[in-house]
Amino acid sequence: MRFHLPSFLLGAVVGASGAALAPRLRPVAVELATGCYKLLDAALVKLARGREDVSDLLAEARARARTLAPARAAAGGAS
Amino acid sequence: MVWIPGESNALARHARASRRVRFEIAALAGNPALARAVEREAAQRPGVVSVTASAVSGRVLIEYAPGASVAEDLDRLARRPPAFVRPARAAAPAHWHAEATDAVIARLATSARDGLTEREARARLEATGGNVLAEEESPSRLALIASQVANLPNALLGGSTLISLLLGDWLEASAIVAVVGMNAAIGYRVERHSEDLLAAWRAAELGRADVIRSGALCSVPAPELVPGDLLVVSAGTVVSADARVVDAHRLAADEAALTGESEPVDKTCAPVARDAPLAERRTMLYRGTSVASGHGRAIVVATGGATEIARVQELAAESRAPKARLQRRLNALASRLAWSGLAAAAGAGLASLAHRRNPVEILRDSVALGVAAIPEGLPVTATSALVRAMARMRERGIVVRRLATAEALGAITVACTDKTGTLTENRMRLERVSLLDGDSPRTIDAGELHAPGPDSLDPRAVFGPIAALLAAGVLNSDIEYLASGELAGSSTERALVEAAQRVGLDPRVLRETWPRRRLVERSDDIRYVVSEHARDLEIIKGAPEQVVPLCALDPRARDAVLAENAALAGDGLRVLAIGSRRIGARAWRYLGLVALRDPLRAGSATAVHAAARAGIRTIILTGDQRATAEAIARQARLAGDVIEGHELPELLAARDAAARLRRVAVIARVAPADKVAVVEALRRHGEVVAMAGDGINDAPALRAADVGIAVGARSTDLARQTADVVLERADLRSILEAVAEGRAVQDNLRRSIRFQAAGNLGEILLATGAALAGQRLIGSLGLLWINLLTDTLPGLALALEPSDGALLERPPVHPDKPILDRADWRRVARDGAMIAGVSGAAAIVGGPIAAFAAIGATQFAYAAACRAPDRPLTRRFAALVGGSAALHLLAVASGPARALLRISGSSPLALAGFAAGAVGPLYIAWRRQATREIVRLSSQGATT
Repeated sequence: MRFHLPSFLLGAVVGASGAALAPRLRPVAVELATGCYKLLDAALVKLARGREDVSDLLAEARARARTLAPARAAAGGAS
Repeated sequence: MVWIPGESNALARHARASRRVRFEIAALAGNPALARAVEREAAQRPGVVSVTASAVSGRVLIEYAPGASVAEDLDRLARRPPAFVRPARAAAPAHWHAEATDAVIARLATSARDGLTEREARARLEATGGNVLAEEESPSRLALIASQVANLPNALLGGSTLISLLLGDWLEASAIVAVVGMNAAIGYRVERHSEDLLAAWRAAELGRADVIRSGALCSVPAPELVPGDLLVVSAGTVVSADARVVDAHRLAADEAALTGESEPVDKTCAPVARDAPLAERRTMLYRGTSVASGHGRAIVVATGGATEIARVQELAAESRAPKARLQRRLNALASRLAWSGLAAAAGAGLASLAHRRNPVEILRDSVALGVAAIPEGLPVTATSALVRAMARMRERGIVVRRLATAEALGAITVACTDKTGTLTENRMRLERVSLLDGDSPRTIDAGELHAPGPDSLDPRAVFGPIAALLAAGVLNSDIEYLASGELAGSSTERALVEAAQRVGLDPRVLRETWPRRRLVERSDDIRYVVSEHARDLEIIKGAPEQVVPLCALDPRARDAVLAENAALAGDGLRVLAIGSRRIGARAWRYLGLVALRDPLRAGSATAVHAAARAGIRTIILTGDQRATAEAIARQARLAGDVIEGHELPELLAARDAAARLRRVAVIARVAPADKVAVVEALRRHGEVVAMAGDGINDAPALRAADVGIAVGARSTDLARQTADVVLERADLRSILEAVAEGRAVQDNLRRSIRFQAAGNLGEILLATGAALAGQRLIGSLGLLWINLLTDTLPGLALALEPSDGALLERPPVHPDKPILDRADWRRVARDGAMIAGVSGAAAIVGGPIAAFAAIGATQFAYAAACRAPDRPLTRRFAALVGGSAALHLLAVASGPARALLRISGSSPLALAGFAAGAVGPLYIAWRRQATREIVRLSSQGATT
């Protein structure tokens, strides 16, 4: 492979800047990762609560349809 | 029933039909062990069929059997008011001010003698939480970086980078990314530094409070105060929580920071009406206010988020924070440039297709043209200009919290200012004294008062009556000397003591000689104070219309004194009459009148006048009464209508509201919400509004204004947190310095953007012209090189030029005016055509290399022609533009660099192109400079 001076120089500059900036970038990286975790947790909570809400809704609908409605019908027939 | 002490237990849903109940328990989230424990514990309850606790959702589902006893409990719980089930951050409003002290003590289960026990205080602290206000969250690092990167110019650059990457042109992509990164890094660094500075100020403000616990006086950190704590307050105490007064001895509080009322408010134990407004709740002490005089005890009734300050803070948070105009205008400009670039790229692409060129090559050139249309230097240029302005302002004690604010300062058209503490010093000063000379009063200016010199022949004859008047004033005053040696008490009485010291009296000696035995305080009807002293001395001090008739004066003298009082009051002065007598004597001996003023801050009048010259209208917003506000406006030489807060709704709803608002100079008796209404109404009518204030009551308006300015390092924490600009010195002239910097930023940005737009247009015209002719003059990398070199560094040089001396002698630029107006665009078109023409001619004569050299050189020379008139050449300008020119010269003259940029041609042709490109604009720059010099010399000659 042929030696390409501009590529070499660019690589050297990028490497040196990375080494110099690493300590300063760490807090940013930590914050970025924390944000990702928070986002994931929030999504999981939303999902779980959504499922619970649907389950509550269905349970109530089922109870009304199968327990309360026949009871009302029976009460109406009696009167 | 599942209940976790100290945690928030909220009922999410209860359906009796399905016999299910779901709770939210905050502590459950992320705690599977607790979830299992809750399931075990709840499942043992009679009637409970199943329990499911989720550590993910933080909820518990309980299913119960029909007729289970638990169902009744759950039903009751479901019917309870939400405030009980879900402990709110702030308690429901209570009417502590209207309750008798015994009722307050009983409700809070405390004692007015021994306070709470340490154990009880700890338990309450755990239950209610700390006495801290929810701080406005500082933006995170990510948010700061995002705010620097997320704008349209950068998005366009991002798109260009993506296409470059797809085509495999990584060098082009890296160059664009480097510019974006540099811009973000500068902005991030500056904003972070400002946030750190403000955080440091806030941390220095946490105080302590004196309380009685278990019968003993102790000092506790203010955040540890709890409802029921017995506060001990005296003159100078800063109140750390809302408290109900249970013991008051001439107690008065300075509530200017909360209500805007500049005079201390007397405090008593007797309940006031339930519907009394905040400023009239005389039985309450509020957090953030301070005790002006007297001493007493008060029981804490609200802490942290439940205090009145917190409610004002919520109001501040609800107010809308307007988006920076610079962002809007930059976005508009970027869109315009993007559209023109897109059209040019499409046109050139079609022309190239007609000449049957390779489609990939055409796409590559189109990207280059698109990039040429975006001034890459624009974000970094704007950021640097703003940072430079921020740095210059910081050197003068003006802390600008947001970059865009630095520019917005230059567009201000209306400055609303609070009176007490902002326009005035919130510090009374004795201005005149009036003595009776025979039957007519003689007024002496306070400036003439001074201690008698040692060689004075008869000091008693000259200073006797004045000394007697001021000595009586001192003896009657309720002033305390703090450990620091400072005076604590109402600003009026402090002023009297200071004046007495000026004429050579020693207040401590006076008090030792005539110690006070009794004090008969003022009430609603009696507006004077009588003090009894040793050696049978009695002193009276108070409202002249009540005190003067009590004095032994013949009718003519009495009328003359009352007339004098009216004249002094009409001048906006606070007037007190002072008299004395032997205990047991019937009539009082009239000693004189003292007239005091809350003086304008040094420079306030100058600032108002200079603001008017700069096209900025000043409006005073104050909680004070009309007469005081009018007098202050007169002193500040502010002309216009004076209205009161209660007239605002009618004015703002009127059809001609805009015209009427334009005439208003003073709005008296305003509440925090009124200030917000005024600011928002002005903004609705197209004004750019600055709001200057220092108190908590100013915070909502500071937030709602285009530029919120917290005045003085002693301004309240909330005001500083909310403001965009913090003035370390309480001098309104600083605002004008900031305005001048803002205008300099606008001017420099306009010149810089005009330069960049003309340069880019020249590049577009050249590339499009070549495409129409079926030629490919400069490749994508070459165009990017030209674009980067001629945009960023010369653009920066123009943006960082020193400010113009005449910036405050002209009106502000209209807020809705685009950064570049029609005339500017005409100049851009003309200059862009010139740049393209010169480069095209070079191409015809010397080929691509001559065109490449010429188009760079033309723009460097053009930068010199774009400089502001009457400004000397700076080293920065020479270094940045000269450096760029040198780099370009190096690139065109060196073979390897030409190869890297994929430009073919020889060095002599390149040098010739460079020279040809530079000569035209340099000639224009020289001619402009010479003309200016001639005009300057001839005007100098005319004046001499």
